[in-house]
Amino acid sequence: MLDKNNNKELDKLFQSKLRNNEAADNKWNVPPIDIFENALAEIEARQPEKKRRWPILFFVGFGFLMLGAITYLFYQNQSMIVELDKKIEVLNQAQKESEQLTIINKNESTSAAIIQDQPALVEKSAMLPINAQKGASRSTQAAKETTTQRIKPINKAQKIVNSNLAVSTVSTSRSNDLLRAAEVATKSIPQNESNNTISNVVLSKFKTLNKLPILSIPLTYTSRTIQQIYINEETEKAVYSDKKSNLKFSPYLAIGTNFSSFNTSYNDLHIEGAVENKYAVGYNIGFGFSVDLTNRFGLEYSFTGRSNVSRSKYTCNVIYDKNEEGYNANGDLVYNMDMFSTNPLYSAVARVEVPVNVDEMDDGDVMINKTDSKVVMSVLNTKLGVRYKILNNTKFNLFVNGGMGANYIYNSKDDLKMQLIHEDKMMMDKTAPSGSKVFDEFFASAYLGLQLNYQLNDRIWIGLDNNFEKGFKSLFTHPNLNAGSSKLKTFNSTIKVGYNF
Amino acid sequence: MTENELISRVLKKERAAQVQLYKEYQTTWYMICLRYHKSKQDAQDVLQNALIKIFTKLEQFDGQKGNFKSWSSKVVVNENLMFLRKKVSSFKVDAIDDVLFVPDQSESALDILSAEELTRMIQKLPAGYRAVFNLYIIEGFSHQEIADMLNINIGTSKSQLSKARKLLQKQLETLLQE
Repeated sequence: MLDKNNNKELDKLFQSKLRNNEAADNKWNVPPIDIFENALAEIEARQPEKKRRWPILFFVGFGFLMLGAITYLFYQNQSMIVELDKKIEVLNQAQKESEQLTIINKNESTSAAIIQDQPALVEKSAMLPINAQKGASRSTQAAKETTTQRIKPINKAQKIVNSNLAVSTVSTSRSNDLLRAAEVATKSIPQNESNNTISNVVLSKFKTLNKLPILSIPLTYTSRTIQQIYINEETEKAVYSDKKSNLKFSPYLAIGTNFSSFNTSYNDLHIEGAVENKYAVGYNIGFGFSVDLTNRFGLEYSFTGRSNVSRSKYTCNVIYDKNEEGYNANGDLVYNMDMFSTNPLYSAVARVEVPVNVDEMDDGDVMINKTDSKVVMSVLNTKLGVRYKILNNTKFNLFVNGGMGANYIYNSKDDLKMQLIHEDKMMMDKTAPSGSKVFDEFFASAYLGLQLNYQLNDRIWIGLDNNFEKGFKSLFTHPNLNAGSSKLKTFNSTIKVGYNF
Repeated sequence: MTENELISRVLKKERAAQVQLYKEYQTTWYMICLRYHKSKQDAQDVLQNALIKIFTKLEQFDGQKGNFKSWSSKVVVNENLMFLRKKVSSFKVDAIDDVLFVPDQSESALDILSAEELTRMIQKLPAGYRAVFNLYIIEGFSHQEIADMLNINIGTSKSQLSKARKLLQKQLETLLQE
């Protein structure tokens, strides 16, 4: 076992020598000044970057706010429409009631006139030949029809007011005549109308009350109410019919694939040339909605989870340097080297320790550095944009759409397989999973695309949305990664299934 | 100018003060980085990251709780550990069963070794040993603290320190024999 005194002596030696932080004469412990300069430059560069995140957060927040607002407006609109439909129903019923009252009133007058004219007609008919009597009878019938037709109002509101006022001003002394006339008139109404509940109710009121002053109050009230409702409804119809047509809300579910190119420009051209694959494929799944503001123009919002998977191989030569030899924990000779890990997204350097046999390797020997890397990025993407319908067909609709996107990389990992080969001998073959986050978490993007919708029925549609999306900034901010720029360029192809409210 | 005044001026982003603070502690910070990394380039990369941290988090420094040197040194050590975590998948290494014979060294013989030579010796240690040795011997952390920082158990920390010492003594022996 090791002697404790030896340990203490060793510890003391290192502590005394290494805790003295004065600059050595040969400046071995003085860092180059450019490190400080670079650090300050980096700090300055980061400051506006922090501010740039606010628009993205604002953008996401705005999207959700808009979703809430539209949902609120939609449900408000729906409830107004339901209310409106109910009112129209009430109005129609009240209108029928009013029309029947009018008919009652007019028929009463007509019947009275006919009764009054009857003696004269009888006298005249007795004097006339049979054909003439028939003609007179037809004239009477025609007069009745004309009277009935005349009461059909051009302006419904006016009709309602007039007819009800007529009813309400009928004198009490004529109530019995009116009752009789009402019975006649009711009988004269076609069977389906005479069965109308309201008519029967009105008639029963006539029979039961037989007092027009009392009757006239509710009727007058009803008349004004109906008139008011009618006028209000006409206005409301105009207002809400517009709203109803303008706010067409259409949520949808989406699933699709994406194909990405990362446009990475490596600092080292040799590395760039050696990367075999610079693309990534993945899938996306999410939901969204669109709101048609006019027949052609609308807004759209989507929220998507996206996965990008990229694989690539990289090969380069490494020159053996005897100065990098050392000993591992077992006292075995090892070669310490920087191993390049390069994929479509970035290039990193990993320090590895490779066991070597004594005198097996010489200065200048060429080794082959092979890496096979897999990078998986999981991204939350939200888009807010506009769309314009360029083809408007019963079944097919074609839209051009475009807007802005906000992206959040919530998970990323890269798995790296490294091999070092010297003269067909495998010196090292290891897999190094890396869980470290090397990506900037937020980036903004813009998109432009075409969407073709097919209307399966009045409500349900299916669409194919193809769009091109470009990131505004490099995904990588890790200072030790050799990637000058890695702006995302993605082609998204998505199938959507939606429902029109 | 006192250290607190200097820090106040740095917080106001005065360039001259930033330069002065850097010059005052550059050797301390750089030596820490050199001890944790075999590669000079790695040490410089980490130092740059550490400088960014120090200057951007300076408002978090509380002069009443400690001095700036120990606060900033902790930031630099943490930055080094973060870097190592990314590069080293695990700090666990195979056990060494061999018992090394370490001859007694006279004080005068050891004294001739420079800080640069000792730093190089530390740099030759495997990453895990190097980290534990630096944290325990130079920075003065306990095994419990080291275990928490490196996500290893206390036994591993102790064992790696022991192995680091063995390797260093072996290197010392070789060096002194030469």
